[in-house]
Amino acid sequence: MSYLLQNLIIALNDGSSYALIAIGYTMVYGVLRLINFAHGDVFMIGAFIGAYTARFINPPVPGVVSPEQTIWHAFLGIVVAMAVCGTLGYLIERVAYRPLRRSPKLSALIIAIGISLLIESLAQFKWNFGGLSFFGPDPLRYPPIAGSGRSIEFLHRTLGISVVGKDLIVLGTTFITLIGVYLIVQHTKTGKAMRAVSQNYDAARLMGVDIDRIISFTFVLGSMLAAIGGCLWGLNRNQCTSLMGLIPGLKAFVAAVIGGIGNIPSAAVGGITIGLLETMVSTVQYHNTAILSPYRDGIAFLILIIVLLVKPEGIFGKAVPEKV
Amino acid sequence: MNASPLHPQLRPLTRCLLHAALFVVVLGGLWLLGGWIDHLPEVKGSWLDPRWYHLLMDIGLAITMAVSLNLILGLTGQFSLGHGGFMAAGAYTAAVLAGLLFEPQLRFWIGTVHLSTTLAFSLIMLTGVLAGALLAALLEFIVGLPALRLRGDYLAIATLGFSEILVVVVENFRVDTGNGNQFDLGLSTGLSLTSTRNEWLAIQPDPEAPLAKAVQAYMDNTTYFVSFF
Repeated sequence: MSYLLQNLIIALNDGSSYALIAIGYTMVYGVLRLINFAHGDVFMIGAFIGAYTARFINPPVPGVVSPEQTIWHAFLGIVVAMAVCGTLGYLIERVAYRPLRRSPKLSALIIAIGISLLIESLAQFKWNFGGLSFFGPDPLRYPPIAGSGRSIEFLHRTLGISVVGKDLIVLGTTFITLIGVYLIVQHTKTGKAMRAVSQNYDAARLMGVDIDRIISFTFVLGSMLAAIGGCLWGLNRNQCTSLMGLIPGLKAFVAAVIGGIGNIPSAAVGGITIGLLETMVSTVQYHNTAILSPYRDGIAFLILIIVLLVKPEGIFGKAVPEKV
Repeated sequence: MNASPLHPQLRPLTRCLLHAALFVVVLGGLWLLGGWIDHLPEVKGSWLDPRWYHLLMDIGLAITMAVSLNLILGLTGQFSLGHGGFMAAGAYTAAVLAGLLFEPQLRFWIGTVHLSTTLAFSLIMLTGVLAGALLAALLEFIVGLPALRLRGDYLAIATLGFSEILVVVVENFRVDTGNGNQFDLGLSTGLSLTSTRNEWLAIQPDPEAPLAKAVQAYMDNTTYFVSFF
């Protein structure tokens, strides 16, 4: 029982990052019918910006193993990462996708892959400014929050599971963010316009919705969520690398498809589902070895293929007959 | 789709098979020719700068990949994001054949058929390439059975999923090769390709032979493609 609960905590930790990225994918797909492959790399940039902010406030001291940050500094890091990633998302949309909006869908998809590779390649390069170097191929340590590695005594005593402080931080931040996004999309005028554009692009424009503004807003909001996801991922694993956006990005996209693409709550549920299934598969034991755990990266895609074949519109999606 | 300029009166399948056969003959001829030219004492290792070898190999790989993707994307209009995975399947098959079964093959071509060393090496590489092509085709056929029920974006995602699964399987593939040894595909295929190359270099004292560079370029680009697709 405690084994299951413990794995549930791990699963929720991963799943919350997937959920935050998946919402960005699903919003952009809903509005533009475009798979924004660069989204995983925005996530990576977010994690790096969070780490650099923390290191800027609290520079690492030579000889000290782990310069830690307070929870407020971590929060500040997330805010700075959101600002930078929001700008990045706006720029990506403005420079790469807007000129191609009326061209075939395939060109936009290829541009998306191109932007993704471009950001990855630029992040693998070491950038030197004023004696400091940024990004580069080596992993960067994300400073942990002071005291966040301590297990919560009460839960350990009663349930026999180890819940550390950062688990609560990750889950709490995700929960609050999800509620915030839900409120923005369901209860503001811009959110209403977003939903209108995703239902019918041309009709929304005829009704006086400023399409360009809404699409930019969607990209900015999605990129900010990716930045939060990246910072939480970094706080959880205390490390970011320049290729870290690739696999989580793909898995989050899978999560969006599994939930039913274009729908925000179902993307969140899809993200949590992927986290749960992955962890479940990794914990399958046979002769005291987790035999399936090396295959955990493939599980998400296996589920994706099964879902696509059985119910292509996703678990919660509505079937739209394709007019061919 | 326009009819092919070559034998337009043939049925598509026949034409396809004919082209495949033509491809094999031309490819094999080129490989043998390359090995033979490189073996001539007066041109040995001196007819092209090593940098140009490498560049040409890369160009050739890019052309091959572009043409093959164009077959899928250009003729059917369906976008397959799993193309890198099938390239990996071919490359790993070739690597396993040239790595694990290197000695038996060499013994067969030199001992049983009495070919020259150069020819034997060319044939080993050629076998690997053809087997890789066949296996990748088989895999793509199997993947296509379910995946081709989807269209457009969904097909792109499904093929991407298949190729990621392929990567994970390759990374975790292990075979017991007898007497306590294990062949770990994810870890040691690079090694086996390099060791083939090194064994070969031990026999043929020319480090910049075109086929050696081909092995190298093949290997480099496989990792490149797998990591990005």
